[in-house]
Parts: sequence; structure tokens; C-alpha cells
Amino acid sequence: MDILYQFIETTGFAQMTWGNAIMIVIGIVFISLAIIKDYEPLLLLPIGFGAVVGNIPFVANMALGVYDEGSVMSFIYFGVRQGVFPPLIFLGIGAMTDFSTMLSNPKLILLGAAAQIGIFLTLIGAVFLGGLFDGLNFGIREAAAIGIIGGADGPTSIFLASKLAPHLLGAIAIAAYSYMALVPVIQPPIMKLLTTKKERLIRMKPPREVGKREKIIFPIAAFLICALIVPGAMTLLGMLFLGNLLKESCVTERLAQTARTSMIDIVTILLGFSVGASTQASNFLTPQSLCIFGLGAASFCVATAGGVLFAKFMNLFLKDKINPLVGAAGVSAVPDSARVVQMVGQQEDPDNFLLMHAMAPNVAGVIGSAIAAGILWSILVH
Amino acid sequence: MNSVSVGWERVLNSEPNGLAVSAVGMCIVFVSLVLISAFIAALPHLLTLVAKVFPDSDTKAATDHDRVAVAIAAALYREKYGSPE
Repeated sequence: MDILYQFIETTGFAQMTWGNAIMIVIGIVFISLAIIKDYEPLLLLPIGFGAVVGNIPFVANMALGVYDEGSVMSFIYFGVRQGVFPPLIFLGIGAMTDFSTMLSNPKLILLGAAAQIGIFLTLIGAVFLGGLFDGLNFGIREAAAIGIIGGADGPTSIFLASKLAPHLLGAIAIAAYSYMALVPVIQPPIMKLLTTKKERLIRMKPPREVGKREKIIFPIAAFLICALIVPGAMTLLGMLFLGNLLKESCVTERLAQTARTSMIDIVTILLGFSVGASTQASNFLTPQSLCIFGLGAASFCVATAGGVLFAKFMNLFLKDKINPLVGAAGVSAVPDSARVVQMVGQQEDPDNFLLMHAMAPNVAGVIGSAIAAGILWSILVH
Repeated sequence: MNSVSVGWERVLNSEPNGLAVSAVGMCIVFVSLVLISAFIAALPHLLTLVAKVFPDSDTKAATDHDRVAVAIAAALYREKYGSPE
């Protein structure tokens, strides 16, 4: 009988805390959003299930959780903790991405740069808030890791957080991926607020056809430019541009195919699941996490506004006007934010096709946020 | 009001200065992407120059398949219309 009582004490039911229960509910909400609403299902489903798994309480001596040395989960989480998974995801993204629209209209790249303002303003905001509330006390390294959420790029957020603020990794990763999933909810009101109907109706010139040589030279040249200026971005951008070169060279189709299908899928499962499992209530349900979610949302909104406003600014000098909605795609979330631009544009004019134009700042945003991460890592590494 | 000034003090006194990190960071992001943009804008012109020295291989090299197809077409032509001479 004693053995039975002893066993009952080890069950999850006996050890369940309110925090664990809340996190399990949050995990189920993520799974529901993925299945019912189709919000980023590839990410939210593994993250949601990971959150459920990570919040099953267990006996302290059993090495089961992601933070327990030697546990299976800790080995999976190694890829997140050491920043291994994000570059592999970038390799797959590179092998999927067609940079043609960016190559055909290079001025749209600037919108991808403008949208990074969210990262840097949030950095200031996070340090500032530390002065208002004693409990938060974010240092500049933590502030930089939180700010990168505004890049709307999950792998980049995880990469930088693992380097600058590993203790905030779970909250930052969940916030980044949640906001990426919520792009269709967050962006449209900001886009509509900052543009007039006349601006939303602007039609842009169709992109020119881009030659094969341009497509092959671009990843090599762009990598050299970025990596020589910001060596800290070398890992992320190296993999991104390698993936793209595999695709565009047409001589490594097998490798490109693997990178953009099997490999990115495997890494996404491992990353999503282990990030979810890292949200153990004791580490995750803290005022800091709530603040990270708030700052992440602010960062994302500012980034969207930055892209839209910069497009309007560019229009002051351009003969061929840019539809300012396209600026919102400067946040990285590929290709969701470009799709949102298309959706909002077509609400005003069903025959206006902005998707191709929006892909240019969208992929430029991926490069921009990786550069921003590299800069912050380089400056704050000491 | 006091806490707001404390907040700003934290931003300005952090090591390194938060405001400076943001300003420098944003500038470097812009410079990097402006350079990429400039390179892309110049690329078609560069390729026109390169094409003069190294013509596009697509028009120069024929694969075995192409050669076989041309030979078959020539043979069929001869069979139907006789020699072009």
C-alpha cells in the first residue's frame, strides 16, 4: 500500500501546480489556434504540444525536463540553447526564397531596413522600463534580445536570445513566434491607420524579369557585403545565402530540395517542440515574461509603422510611387506579412496585386533583422 | 515623473549607452541594405559589360541532346526535300 501511495505522490496529478495547469491550457490554446484558425500551424502546433509536455510535473530526481542535465529533452533543446537550429532554418528559408522581386526593384530594400526601427526603439523601451519597475530590471543585453522580437523573425530572435539572454529564451521565442502567427491580426489596423484610401489604391509597376546570372551572383555578393560589415550576422546570413545559391545555381537541386523540405521540417519540429517544452511554469510565468510579451507587441507594431511611414517618406521623392502598404512587409515574417499586404490592398482594389512587390521588403526584412542581430551581438558580446 | 527620469537615466547610463547602441545599430542596418541595394541596381550594367567578355553560355554550348536533335532534323529534312545544295 505504501508503494501505491508513494507512486501516487509521483504522478503529475499530485504535483500539479496552478502555473502548470495554466501553461497546459495555453499550450492547448496554441494547438487550437493552429488547427482551427490555421495560424502558423507548422510552428504553433509543435510549440503548443511542447508547452503541454514541458508542464507535466515530475519527481525532481528524474531527468526529464529541458533544463535537466542529461535528459533527452535537454539534448533536443541543445539546438536552441546553442543557437544551432536558427541557421539551419535559415538554410531552408534561403532554398525556398526567390529574391527576384527584390532584384527587380532594389529601392524596396530600404523598407526592409526602415522596419528594423522596431528592434532598436524597443531596446530603449526595455531599458527604460527597468527604471520604472524594480522587478523587471532589464539590462541592455536583455533589452536587445527582447527588441529583436520586432524583427518578426523567430529564428533570429532565438539566435540572439541564446547569445545575449539565455535565461529569457523561452519567453522571447514564444513571443516572437506568437506575433509571427498573429501578423494577420496585428498589422492591418496599423496599415489602415497610417495610410489614406488614395495611397492604398496606388498601383505599382510590374517587376522586371531578372536574369539567371543576377540571381546567382546576388547571394554571393550580398553575403560578402553583409558579413564584411557585420561579421556577427555571418552564421545566419551565410546559411540563408548558401540555401539560396543551392537553389539558384541549378546544379545542386537535390541539396536545395532537401534544405527546403525534409531538413527545415525536421528542424522546425525539434525547435518548436523544445521551445514549447522550455516554458515550464516556474520559469515562464513571471512578470518579466509578461513584460516581454508587451514589449514584443510594441516592437512589432513600431516595426510595421516604421515600414509604412518610410514608404510614404520615399514617395515624396519618387516619380513611380510605392504603395505604402508594401512597407508593412518590411518586418521579416515571410511570407505572411506580404500576404497581409496583398489582402489589405485588395480590400480597396480587388485588381491590385501587391504580393510580388511586398515580397521585396519582406525578404529584405529577413536580411535586415539578421544584420540587426549581428550588430547587437557584436556590440554587446563583452 | 521621477521614475521617468530614472528610466531615461538607465537608458543613457547603461553600458554601452542604449541610445547610442540604437542609433548606431539603425545606421549600420541602413548602410548595409543601401549597399546591397546599390549593388543590385548596378548589377545589370556590370553584367552587360561582363557579357561582352564572357558571352552567355546558354547561347554558346549545346548539349548532346541538342546536337542529336539537330542531326535528326537535318536528316529528316534531307530525306524529305533532298540536299540543300
